Amino acid sequence: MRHVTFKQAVFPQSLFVLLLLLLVQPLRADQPEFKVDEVANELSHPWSLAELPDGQLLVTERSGELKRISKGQVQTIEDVPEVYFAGQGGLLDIKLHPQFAQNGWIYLSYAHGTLSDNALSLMRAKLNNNALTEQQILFTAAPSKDTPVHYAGRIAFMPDNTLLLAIGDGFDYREHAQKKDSLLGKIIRLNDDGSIPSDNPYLSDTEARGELYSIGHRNPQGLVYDKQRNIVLSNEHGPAGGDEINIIQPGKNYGWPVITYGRDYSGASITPFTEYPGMEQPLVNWTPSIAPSSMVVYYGDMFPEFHGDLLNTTLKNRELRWVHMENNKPGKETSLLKHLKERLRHIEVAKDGSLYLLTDSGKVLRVHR
Amino acid sequence: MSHTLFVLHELAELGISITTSIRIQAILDDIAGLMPAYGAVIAIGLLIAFSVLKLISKKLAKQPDPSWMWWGLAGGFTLCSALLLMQPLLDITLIAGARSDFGFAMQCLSGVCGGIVYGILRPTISQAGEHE
Repeated sequence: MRHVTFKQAVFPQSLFVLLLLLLVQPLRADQPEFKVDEVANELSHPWSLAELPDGQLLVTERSGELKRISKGQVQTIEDVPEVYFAGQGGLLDIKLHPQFAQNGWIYLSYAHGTLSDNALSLMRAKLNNNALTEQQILFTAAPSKDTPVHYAGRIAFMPDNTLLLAIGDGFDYREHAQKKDSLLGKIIRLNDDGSIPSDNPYLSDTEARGELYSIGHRNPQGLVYDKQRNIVLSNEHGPAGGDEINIIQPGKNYGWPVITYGRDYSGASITPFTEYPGMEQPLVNWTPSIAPSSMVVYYGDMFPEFHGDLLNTTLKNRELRWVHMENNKPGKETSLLKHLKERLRHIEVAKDGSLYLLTDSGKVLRVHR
Repeated sequence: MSHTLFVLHELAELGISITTSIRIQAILDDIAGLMPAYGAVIAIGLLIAFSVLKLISKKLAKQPDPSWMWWGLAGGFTLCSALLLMQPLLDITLIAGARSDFGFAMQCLSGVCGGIVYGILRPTISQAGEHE
């Protein structure tokens, strides 16, 4: 019989445990301590959220209703415009005007029409008591299309009170993203009343639509103005692979579908090119896809470790993807909230620095210390 | 090949320069890329169509060996059915080369050509098999 000393028996296991701890510790140090509370549930395809000055939440449901959430109570707002609810279409983004406290304007993007003739629209209205009033349709994308997908629809206000609106390529219309006389596959810039700003980048091009701000987009899902860096950031779905984060600059071409790192869902190539003269490379390329669905640049007080970084909700990866930024350059990435196992649709930073998340399962979550 | 040429044509229409070597490489790339999914759909479709053709021909027409044009029709019907059945899945065109009517027709024509080739070669294949 072979005798094993105490040292021989214990040392290998101890070493193994020590190594394991050394490996795990840096991972744990990357994970901020979170508490996740459920604010509301059983919403129907919640898509976007805005926090009112009094802390109440307005949540769009893609199925066409606007909900107000206050202290856990969910109330339906009346007189919301009729939407085309199919595929990826329906009631989409909601944003408050930067001077909402003075003017009360709420901006909504939505799909409207029919299967054979539908488009993305932008409207604004005021919330009086429990209804949307003074409704104004500000913009409708053209041409209309016969696919119920790839609307994009995100809205972002700029410091000059103009707004950016992302418009998807409509899937079957992907080449339109390169056509300057089409609004599909573009980010456009409008004044807050829907008129075209006089300093838009393509105004001097007689063949281009005056609304255009940037071209060559597929299906942008995150669109934010970074107030400290004074840049616009966007994330967008690629096909199979080729999800991207881009710094959006006026007049630039982001390449879709001439350049992409993704392939078609069928397995075919979209294009032979990943680079082409005059077309921008992505700031971040996610291949394989993680399916980013929204984005914020965090400058809140509650999570100083996120300061200036990009937080991206994801559908396929069911996580919050934290992109650490070093000045304007993306650094390492950290996966957060994977344990929730939720398709995360939207993220918003609350006034107290906590995070609101919407899930495709119908929940509003609040993430805080 | 029909798919690739239509997709590249759309890019060329945007003013993108595509050389012959890039086109050839893209066709080869698409054959490999489409084979697992679209190739499998077509293979299953052709198996069903050709089996049904053989059955109908044998039982109803009392003709065990249909002529080449019937095999071509079955091939075209397979591609047409596959494309039409895929469309309602998401109300989008999953095979980008079939987005236009002409592209759709060319896909179907590819099926017709494949069916005819099979129909012409089939007796040879059967006879070769009988000697084994």
